[in-house]
Amino acid sequence: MAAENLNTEVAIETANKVIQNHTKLQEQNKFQEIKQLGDRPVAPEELSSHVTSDNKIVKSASESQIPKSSGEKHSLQRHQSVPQQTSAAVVNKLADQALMNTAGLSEREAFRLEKFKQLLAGPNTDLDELRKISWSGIPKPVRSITWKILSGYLPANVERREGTLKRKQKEYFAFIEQYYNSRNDETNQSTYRQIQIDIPRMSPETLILQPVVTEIFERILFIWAIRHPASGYVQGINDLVTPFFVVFISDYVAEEEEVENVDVSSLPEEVLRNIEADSYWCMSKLLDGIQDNYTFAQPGIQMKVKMLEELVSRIDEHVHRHLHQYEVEYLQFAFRWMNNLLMREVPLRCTIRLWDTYQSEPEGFSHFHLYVCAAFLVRWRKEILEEKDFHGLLILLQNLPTAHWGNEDISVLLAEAYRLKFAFADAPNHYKK
Amino acid sequence: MAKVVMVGDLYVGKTSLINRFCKNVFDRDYKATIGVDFEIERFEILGIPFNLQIWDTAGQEKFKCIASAYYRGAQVIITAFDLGDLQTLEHTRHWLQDALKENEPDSCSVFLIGTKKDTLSEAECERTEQDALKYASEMNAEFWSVSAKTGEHVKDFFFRVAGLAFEQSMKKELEKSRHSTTQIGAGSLIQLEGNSPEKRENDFRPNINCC
Repeated sequence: MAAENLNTEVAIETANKVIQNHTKLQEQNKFQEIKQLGDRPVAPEELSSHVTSDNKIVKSASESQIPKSSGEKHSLQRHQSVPQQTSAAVVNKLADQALMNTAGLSEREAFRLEKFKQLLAGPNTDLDELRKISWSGIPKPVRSITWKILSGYLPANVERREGTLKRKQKEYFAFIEQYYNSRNDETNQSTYRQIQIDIPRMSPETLILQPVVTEIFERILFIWAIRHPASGYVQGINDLVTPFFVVFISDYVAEEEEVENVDVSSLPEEVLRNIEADSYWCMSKLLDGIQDNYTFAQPGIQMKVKMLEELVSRIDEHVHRHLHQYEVEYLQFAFRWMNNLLMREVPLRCTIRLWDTYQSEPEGFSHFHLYVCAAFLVRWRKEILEEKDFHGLLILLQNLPTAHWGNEDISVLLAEAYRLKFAFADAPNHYKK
Repeated sequence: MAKVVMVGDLYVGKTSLINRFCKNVFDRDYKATIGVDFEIERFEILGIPFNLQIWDTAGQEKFKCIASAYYRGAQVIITAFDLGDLQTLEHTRHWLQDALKENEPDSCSVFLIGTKKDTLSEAECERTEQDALKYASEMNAEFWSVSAKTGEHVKDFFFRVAGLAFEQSMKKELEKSRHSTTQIGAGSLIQLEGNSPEKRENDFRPNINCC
């Protein structure tokens, strides 16, 4: 109960922050958009709509980047006589605002990082406090250690951490000794073959295709599959290793460098062994919470897709009815959302941000994810309602345009998911009191 | 409109084949399909607009429970295998059985398709095609061998699928209108079943495109 109250506070704070940042982002987008319009005269109606929409709450940043429909183009042409000075003035104003907000933000981020460092320094990390502060995103320099603690892999006590790491690493490599040679045995070879086929087709390619990385993933996945015969290896599980691997390896990469471009073989062997073992254990912890997603007939997923349908029917009847009208079934698009925890739907950087929150929510991956999926679906309500046939809807839902998404989009999504969780599931319990 | 369901082992190239045809692109490493993917291709046949709704199902055995939900109402079942991997050819029998189970008897046209033709020499290809033809006649299927990488026979194949599906739809329409003028009852049902083997023979004209 206490934890939930804390989280409410955090969620509201996050929501506020999100709205602030979001406004800033929108301004930047508009700034760029207007810049791109270049010498083209701009209609006063269009400019004023930009300015007023900035004062509105969560309207997605991506909307402003959606290619203009031909209808809009026409309306622009109609107003070609408007003088150009108007747009220049607005551009300058927006640019100033954007600069100011960026400076303010980095100060806040520095403060947050300091708070993380204090918490992590111990001697005993206050886990409730760590969850609370992590909910709205973990700064990159402390993400690796924070994830290890939040997932339950590392203890709260600072002095015990080093020993735990050593012990767990030893344990993992003992598994390798014990099982890995059996990968070509008759009973295991189909599992191993599937893993071998899937790894090279994962992303980010530049990282995964490095032989040393491919081998690490093969070992992690094979050992996990062998030790969990009830589910074994199911496609999609492979994706779940990537965020851990990428986050843990960033400890050894200069901050300005992209993890994807790192030559992994240049890292010391001992470092790589640690990253491998840590990734294995953290992924195992995650999967422990969602194992019924991957057991025979995937009952966990079937149940969650049903729950999603039920939830959406309550939060946005219009969208729900629209899907129903055109005979779109939730399983047809949401199966992958559950099986791969939305990793196929958003860029990796967004998944990592999403997992900051999942790891600080009680039952984040198994329960809260459902609300995130609901928020994600309703996020596209406008696009969904515009589609007037089965084909259009399914193509849209299987290819949602999130390629440009960043932290802000995820923060908006999470704040909305939190609101939904609070309003549609937890509320009845409050009333009982 | 016709519903086409593509089945077959993982990594035989189901997604590649569809993407070659629908988007004219090839990428060696498409991500594994999770559950099912969906594509639509629009045709015009004899001046009539006709769509193929293509369901690209996941090849991993573990997804079968979920994937079978998508088999229903298929007019065309495409069972794909890798020409370079005879085991995947063997498995096409099971895939077809599973897909047919979800549909009315004799309501589907069946294709057997060998993929990755570019990876084999002509002699190797011919050998496999001999085997595949046996499977095809056993399955009552039409056999094609293609390469999504080079694009060889891909377009012809899908045109053939569309053509056959179109013909089937027209026949069904005709039958419907014929039955609506006569009495609907047990008699016509029996008649329909009696007709089907003969009809099937007419439908599956072997049209083999080899190397």
